[in-house]
Amino acid sequence: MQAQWRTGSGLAKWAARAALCAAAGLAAGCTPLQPVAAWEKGALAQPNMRFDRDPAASRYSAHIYDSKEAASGAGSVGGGGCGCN
Amino acid sequence: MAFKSDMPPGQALMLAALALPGLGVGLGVPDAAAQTLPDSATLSVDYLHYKDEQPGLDRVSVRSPAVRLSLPVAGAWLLEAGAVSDHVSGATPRYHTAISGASRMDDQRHAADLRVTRYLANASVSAGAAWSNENDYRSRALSLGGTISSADHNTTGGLSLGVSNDTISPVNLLVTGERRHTVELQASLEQVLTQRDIVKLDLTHAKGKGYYSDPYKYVDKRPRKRDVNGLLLRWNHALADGSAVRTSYRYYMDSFGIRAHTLGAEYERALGGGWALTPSLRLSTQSAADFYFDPVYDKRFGPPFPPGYTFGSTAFTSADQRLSGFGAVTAGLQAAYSFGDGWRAHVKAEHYRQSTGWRQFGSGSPGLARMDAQIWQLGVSKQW
Repeated sequence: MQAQWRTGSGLAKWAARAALCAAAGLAAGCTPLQPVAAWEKGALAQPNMRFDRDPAASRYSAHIYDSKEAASGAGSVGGGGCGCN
Repeated sequence: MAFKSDMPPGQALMLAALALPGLGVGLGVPDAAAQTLPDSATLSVDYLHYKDEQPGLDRVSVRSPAVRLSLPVAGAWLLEAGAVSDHVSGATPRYHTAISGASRMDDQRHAADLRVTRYLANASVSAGAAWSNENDYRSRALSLGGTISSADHNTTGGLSLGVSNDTISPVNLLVTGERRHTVELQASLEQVLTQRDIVKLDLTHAKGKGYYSDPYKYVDKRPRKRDVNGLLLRWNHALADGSAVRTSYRYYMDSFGIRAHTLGAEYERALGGGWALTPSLRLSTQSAADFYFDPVYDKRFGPPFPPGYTFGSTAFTSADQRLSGFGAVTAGLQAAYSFGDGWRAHVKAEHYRQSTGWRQFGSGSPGLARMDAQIWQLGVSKQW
């Protein structure tokens, strides 16, 4: 189990480093992305482009999956636990 | 660019203009374009129904009325609050898929949460609390978070800390007043890629200690420590006709030895006249916990004891189907109608199936009956 856990932990560290590098690159202006101006964000401003399109429904779905599967979370913190899992 | 969603005509352009540097403080576009304060309040009321079954057997049924409020205050604050009441009835297995007369239950859960966010020019700070009460389980959680955005609001980084304290007192008195303490840390990065694409990456690490065994399951003994790492990547794409595609991928791993991959996709199709249809698909697969045992029992003692079981042993063991290796598919369809004047109603139906034969990696976990569930959501919301 320990060996597997170390392998998994390595992946998490890799992902964290990748995210950090991406953030550093963006902050340093080295990004290959073309910056999007405020007046070009009309499509992004649509309600259907929200990551949390329907908060109540998202929470309910997350609660169901938490109670029927071992994997849970990753989208937010501080939600607390429940006896269902 | 044509917009056919429930945002009033012209508002998208106005919101985009308000997001201009120097004008966007306290106003601004909804969250997809940047971490900015919503310009309107939303109250939603939902009724949620869940029911699961295995071949020839009805299991758990849950009915949940829920209410949520999102309220901008004084041009710089956002108050978010929610409450839900779950009524759970039916039966859950005592080991693997076996249900006995003692498995019957009828329980009520009340939960609420509150979050306050202060928005600054290119940053936000938030604090939240959550409560959950059942007759045998109580949870209290607190969280603190902050985000910081680039001047053009195309890049937003965030950091959040959450702590929760749970108390477990099962009605069978197997244990009394057991505790579980969890600390979670999350880093996030949100990036506008193009005029139609935005991505968000969340990395979460959680450390938990305390009581993780299931007091209602036979021969269930789990470690008193559980560390979790999660990665969630979401990608939203806006189509030219006002529709949107939302995709996600999550990788999960924990110190129980469980690994899981989850893919999700939704296509919100704007139909015109205020209607929208959203088909969705979710695929998930997980490996079994290191201490999960297959439904093969000790020759001397029979079920539910695993082969070679020794009474009084401190070895970890569990026959909980949720810790087995399996695959799962959820297919759903939502229909929504925007009445105008901020009113919106939606109904969503989903079917969930979990089967050990669908696992995509790992070994073991044969011999379990598949599980099916139907999920219904009915809601109405008002924006002003």
